[in-house]
Amino acid sequence: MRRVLKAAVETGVVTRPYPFVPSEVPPGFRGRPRIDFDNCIGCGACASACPPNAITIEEGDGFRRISLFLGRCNFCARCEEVCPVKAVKMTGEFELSSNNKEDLCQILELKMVRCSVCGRFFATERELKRAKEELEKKGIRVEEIVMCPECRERASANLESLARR
Amino acid sequence: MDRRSIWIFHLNTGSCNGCDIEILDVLTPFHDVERLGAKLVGSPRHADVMLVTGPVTVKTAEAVRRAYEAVPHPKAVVAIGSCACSGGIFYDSYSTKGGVDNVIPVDIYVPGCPPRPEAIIHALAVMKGIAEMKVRREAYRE
Amino acid sequence: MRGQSYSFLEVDPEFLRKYVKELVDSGARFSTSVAVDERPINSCFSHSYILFLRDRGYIVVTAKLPSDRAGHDTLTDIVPGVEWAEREAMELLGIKIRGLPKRRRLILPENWPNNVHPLRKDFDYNYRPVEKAEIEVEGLPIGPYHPALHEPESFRLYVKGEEIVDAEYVGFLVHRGVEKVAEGRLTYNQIPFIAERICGICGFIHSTLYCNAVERAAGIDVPERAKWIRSFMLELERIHSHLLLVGVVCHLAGFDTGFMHAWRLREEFMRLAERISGNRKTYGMNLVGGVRRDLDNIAALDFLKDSRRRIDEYVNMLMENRLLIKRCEGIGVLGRQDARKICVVGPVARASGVDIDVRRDSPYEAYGELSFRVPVHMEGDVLSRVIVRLEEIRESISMLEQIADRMPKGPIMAEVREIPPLVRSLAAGEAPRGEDIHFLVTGRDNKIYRWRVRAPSYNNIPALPLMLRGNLIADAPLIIGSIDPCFSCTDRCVVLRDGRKYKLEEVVGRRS
Repeated sequence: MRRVLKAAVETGVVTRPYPFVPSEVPPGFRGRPRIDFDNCIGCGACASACPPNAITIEEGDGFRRISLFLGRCNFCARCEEVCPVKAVKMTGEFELSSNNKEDLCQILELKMVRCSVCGRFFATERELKRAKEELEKKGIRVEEIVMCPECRERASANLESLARR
Repeated sequence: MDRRSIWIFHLNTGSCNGCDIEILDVLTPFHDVERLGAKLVGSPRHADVMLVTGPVTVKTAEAVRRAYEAVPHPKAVVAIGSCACSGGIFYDSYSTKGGVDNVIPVDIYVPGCPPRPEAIIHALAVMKGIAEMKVRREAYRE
Repeated sequence: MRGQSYSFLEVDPEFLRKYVKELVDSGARFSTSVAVDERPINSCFSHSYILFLRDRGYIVVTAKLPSDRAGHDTLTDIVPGVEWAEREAMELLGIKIRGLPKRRRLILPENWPNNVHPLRKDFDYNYRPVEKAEIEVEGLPIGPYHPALHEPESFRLYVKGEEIVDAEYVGFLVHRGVEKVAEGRLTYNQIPFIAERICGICGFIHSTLYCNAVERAAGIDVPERAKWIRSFMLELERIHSHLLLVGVVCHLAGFDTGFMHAWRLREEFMRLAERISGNRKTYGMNLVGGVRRDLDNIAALDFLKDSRRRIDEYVNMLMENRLLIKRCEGIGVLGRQDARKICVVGPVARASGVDIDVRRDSPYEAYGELSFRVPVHMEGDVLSRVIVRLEEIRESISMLEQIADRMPKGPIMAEVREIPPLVRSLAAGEAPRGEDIHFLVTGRDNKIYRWRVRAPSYNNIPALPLMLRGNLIADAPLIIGSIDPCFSCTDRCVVLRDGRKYKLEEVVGRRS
């Protein structure tokens, strides 16, 4: 009994007065993920890496729609790890209670580009712009023909067969 | 509401226990939710608020419904953790119902995997009116 | 130091019993059995029995069962501990095991349709069959949500007056279909995250062993520093899990002060984990080939010296407390012979005189280079299970200090190229609750073919009826809590024939 009382007296009060004072998080804390609209190129790497499919991609009306649903997020930070342009960041926010599931969504809609041969939408404008910038940085000149991967494959197959003759 | 106490019944519908130990952590000296007037009770009949964790496995769905019906009015349900909000990483498994709101109505959602004890205290503070909800829907179009 | 050794043997179904019997007679310990639907590859089902023999390592004996005759005789007469694994093979894969006693369903709900087996390859992971009818909830209206409960599980106790005569576990309420979701939807690098959520208390060992199984199958060389970082997080997890349990046992014994102090001590370790990994639990640090984050704030570990003193003070406070000792001594005894027959693992086994510890017997990650003691006691009661865990906490703190002093420098992630398809692999480790086994068959297109997780509580829970016999009802929650059952690990994926002499009482076990 003596030891129990001694332990109680020595320990004292350890309670933190949250929520009346804010609570800090350590650096590197994996809080809420947020996509920065200005930098996102809509490539979808985050959606393929996300284990619970909290980030989903849909296409329609010439727009690519990226939805991040916090209700299914498991805060693993794989999206932050695989994003090629560092648009997804894990913030320090952890006070995410809400009475409406709609409030837990972040939606981005990015314009898409049509293929000049078959006419279907195949990539976002920003994806193409970035691809061009990256190639030009390496000193490769890029022509302005916009083609979807299937049409491009067909076109290069035709060129090869022409070259062989 | 902020002068009244909240009696909590904790229900585990098949979770991995991460959220459950954070709920228990909220009772321990560092976070001490009893200063907000909340305490864990043993029976749904004594409770005001039900804290639910887990993605509701098919084996527990019926028992969850019965526990919800046993709580007397006025009542509230708080879904703690991403599994309770929407099924989490198990959202489309053959053995789960995909979130608590597929079985009983939910009042507050607390995402997290597991949510910090402070996040759970924040949810209870929101119910009492001491704190505000901070997260909002964000939509951008180019 | 001893290394790991895994051997895979294939036998004809008629000789399965003979081989397993020979191994058991020469002292092998049965771990678990795994059934795989290999019909798309070779029109067979396969059933593999995993055993461990000192000085030979892990031995996997596999029988291939042609799909039109998928069945064999049970092995429960050789090793009683195989019963759950065989029932799982019957329910989830439809393999007919002849000779098993007829009981209610173990894993799937009662209203699941017949002949629909979720782990077969022709069953989609997200298909939800129409339920037959309402489940009849038997017994008292307290259901599995008894006031004292923190996990959904129920034990049916058969009593004679105040004394328990027998018990049955009615569970698998936490079965979420982890193995099937991983087969059906997830890629290699997404599975460590679902593995970590098999259990919120011992999740990191599950993700580490999964990564080990893939790395062994693909021949990936994990860098040394990554192995030491993984061992550090594993020991941190062990400390937090044991402190959690000691607190729970105090609470169940009526000593709430002990519960509060244990969880107060545990809080520092949770904060350390948050600083290192970004979250208090579900560290999310493992990927196939290494770890994602480095351990750079080693300076923050000065508190380890202080924490050893604090934990020693706490242990002295507990051991001086006569209330706790009286309630725990001599209760829930599991004898050594019984412990061997049921194949219990972990602190439950070590408290009953069975000297096993995977970290020493088959070292993985950096354990081959660390020095530690394995505490073993002979009494087999609740008190010795608690004491074994308290001694392990001390050993773990010493291991954390050794790792912090001697961790090598270097890269933390290996380059992962092609993972060969259809390779069988096994990884075993020591979770806080005992031996954890992951059996893996790799697949094509960045997905796996089969994954089986056998968590330690799977082997420990069947020992409960033996432990509960002869004790009073009031001690039942304490005994059930003392084996530290983790139902979410067990279920990932007591009704005796009504003896008219006995009174049926349903008391639900408590685990918090």
